[in-house]
Amino acid sequence: MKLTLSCLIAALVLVQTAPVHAAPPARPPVLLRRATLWTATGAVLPDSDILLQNGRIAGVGKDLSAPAGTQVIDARGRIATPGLVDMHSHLGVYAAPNSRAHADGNEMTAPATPYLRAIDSFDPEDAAIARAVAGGVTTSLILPGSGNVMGGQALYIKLFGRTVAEMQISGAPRAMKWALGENPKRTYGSRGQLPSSRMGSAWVIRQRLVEAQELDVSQQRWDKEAVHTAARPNRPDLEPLQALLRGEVLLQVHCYEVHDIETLVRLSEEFHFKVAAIHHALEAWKVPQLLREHRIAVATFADLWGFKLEAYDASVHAPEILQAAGVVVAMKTDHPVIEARDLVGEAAKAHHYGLAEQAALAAVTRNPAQAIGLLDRIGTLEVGKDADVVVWPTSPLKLGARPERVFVQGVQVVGDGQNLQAAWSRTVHATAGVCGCD
Amino acid sequence: MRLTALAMATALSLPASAQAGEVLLRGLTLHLVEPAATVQNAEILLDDRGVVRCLSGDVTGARPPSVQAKPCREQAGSTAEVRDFGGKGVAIPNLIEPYNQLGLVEIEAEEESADGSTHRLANAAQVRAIDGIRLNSRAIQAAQQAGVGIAAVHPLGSSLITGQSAALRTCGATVDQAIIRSPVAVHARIGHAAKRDDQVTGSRSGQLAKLRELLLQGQRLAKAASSKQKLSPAQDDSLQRLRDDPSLPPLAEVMAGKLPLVVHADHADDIAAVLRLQRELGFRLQIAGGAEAHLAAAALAAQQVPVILTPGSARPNDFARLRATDQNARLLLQAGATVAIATEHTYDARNLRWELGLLVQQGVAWAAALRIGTLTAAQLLGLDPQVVAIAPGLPANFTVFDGDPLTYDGHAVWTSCGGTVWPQPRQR
Repeated sequence: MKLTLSCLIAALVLVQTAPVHAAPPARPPVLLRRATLWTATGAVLPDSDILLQNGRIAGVGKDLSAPAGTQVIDARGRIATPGLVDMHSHLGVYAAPNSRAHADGNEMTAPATPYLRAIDSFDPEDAAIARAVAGGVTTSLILPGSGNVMGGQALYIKLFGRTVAEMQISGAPRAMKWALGENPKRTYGSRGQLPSSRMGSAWVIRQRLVEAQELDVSQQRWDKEAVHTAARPNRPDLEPLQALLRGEVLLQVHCYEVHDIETLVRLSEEFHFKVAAIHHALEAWKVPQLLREHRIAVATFADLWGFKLEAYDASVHAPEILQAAGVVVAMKTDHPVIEARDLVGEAAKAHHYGLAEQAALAAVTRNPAQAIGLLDRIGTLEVGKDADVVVWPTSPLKLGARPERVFVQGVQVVGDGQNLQAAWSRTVHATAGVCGCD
Repeated sequence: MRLTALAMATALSLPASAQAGEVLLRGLTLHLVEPAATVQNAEILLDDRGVVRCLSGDVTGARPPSVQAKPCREQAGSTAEVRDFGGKGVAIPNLIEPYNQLGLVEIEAEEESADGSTHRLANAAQVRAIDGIRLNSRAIQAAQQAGVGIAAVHPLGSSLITGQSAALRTCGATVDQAIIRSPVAVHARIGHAAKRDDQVTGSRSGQLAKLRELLLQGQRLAKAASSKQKLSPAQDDSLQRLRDDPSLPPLAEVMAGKLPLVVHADHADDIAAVLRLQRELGFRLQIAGGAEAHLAAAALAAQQVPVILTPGSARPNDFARLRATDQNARLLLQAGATVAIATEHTYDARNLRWELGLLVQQGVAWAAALRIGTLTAAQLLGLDPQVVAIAPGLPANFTVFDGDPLTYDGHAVWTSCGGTVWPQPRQR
């Protein structure tokens, strides 16, 4: 499948013209002085400053001058990175503690529910959010679960704020979650319903996309009519798929095995939609060329494997193999499968198994930002980007690494020794103490 | 996909090169735990059976009798294969995973490959892990290639008493070769899992009541076995009914002090409830799980009940674990409790060394963390301390890393399990 350039352009336009994320409280500028900057662009800048002002990165370089009133933080000996980006998370839709009451990520009453929205399940008071930000995560893509073939639409959040509205990244692209492989067929097959097989899952997709195409045709026909004898055809349940086929939705697909990846590619060629990324993808390492040709990113685990058959033929060297082949690789948590707080540990383990140091950092910053369509705004330490910055006392790729300070849009939400440990191990939500928003 | 996996499983199950002659390992820092010592500039000479012939090197402090000053290379034959780690090799005894289902569960979601669970029985004490173990397991091989040499494996499931565990080497070709102790313990579980099975009991208090009832029956059997008192016909009939129940003799072993009872419990109050039962009935108890054990640290220490933290770094995401903390092990050790560390799933047993490394992050001394992962685990499993010893005359059971094995810096670069050598271990 060819890159749908219009899709990317549309996404970028959306982001660039979007209203700014719910404005954080007015704060003085912050200058981190003389840190080692791991910029996630590939560049490591020793002994350098970074200025955070008005929620953005206002300067990167040596001996920056600070505006009056700037809070200057001596960051000598520290490493500063972009805020981490978790592109596969169920924070808020499977809120802690694990319970039936909190299980809001899978609407498993119909296999194709592209019309559902994670935002409508998201609980901003999930205690795990506080822990995640204490681990350096500043942006998450909140996805519906994988019980359905078409699970629904994703929510983009910054890990800052008290309410859904405050946390939602306004103007972010639209993203949708699908799932192939074992999960949907297990969900419905156990009830004797469609799909009970992989071919059933593919049919569910094909059926819905054909319906979306037919709706498009009937709407276009209506638009050309001189006199309307009926209302314009409208199917809210199909609108997200129409948007997908127009290239306006970034498709994120749970997909482990090679043959599932091939099925997805066949469908994308048949219906001319773009796949942004495959998730989990523990056999992606076998087909890097296919993924590179179709510009499909991979969001994967470092060493989680074997819990089901489609996860059995994993390789810990997959990130290194995929990266070397030119595939965009991201590490993610699938929280609560892996605690969101431990995202950096996934990068660290990928590094242990061969992914180069800065590539490992990019796998939890730049690459996921790119795969979710927000690279113009987050993912690297560059002037103009959101001031999402993590300060680490030592390499973030060390075992057990923890941030010393975390800034979200220029606001220090973790740090200064006051709430660091509390946030790290928080088990009940106490928003004011976590978000720093007084 | 299946072919690839099976082919790899087969490949991994074979040593990359058979032991053909003497092997001299040099350029090592060697950490011994029994007796404890750090040996710099260490050399280890293995004979053609993979048995340690010589240990040498520089020791600060008292020199263990097993470590000679004279370099082992002087004893090596001219045809010995030499592996020089250039001073960067770090050798440690193979670790012991004290609470896992390796060999019982290969793929959790596939019933065909999962034999680790008992259901529909409140008391499944007669179920023995040894009877369900299947080798040729990628999870076992992954653990072995990461320096885990021994694992204790236990039945689990929704039963209250889930069965008897066994300790196995991760490198045996057959179950009989791999097993080094069976049974190791009788296992039980307090909490949510057993509540779901209506054949067991629907509440924690019900679980404790049932556990007490079963242990009292075991106690009757144990007392009868040790008593020379003549029984009335009615008493004898009653006892015979207990003897005829195959699930009770293992509990008699527990109540006679011959086997420990390992109870999985995470919530501090569940742990406290089990501790009350232990005070009442006086059996050898170990706690597994233990996410909130730090809140019962003083009582655990006072009653000398060890805790197998499973995993070492539990997250507070379940009701029974809400007060989990990554300071758990340190707090328990500070209180004087005995702590061992386990991983939670078969597929992450290979990460045991990093769970131990997280103890070091908490402030536990590096040597103490290594001891927890070796000698302490051996003691809890009732194994001879020699299983974690590296000394002349013993089969080689150690792994060499190219950096600190308790961090992400170290990769396993040479390993031997029971004397069988893998010169280039590699995680798949």
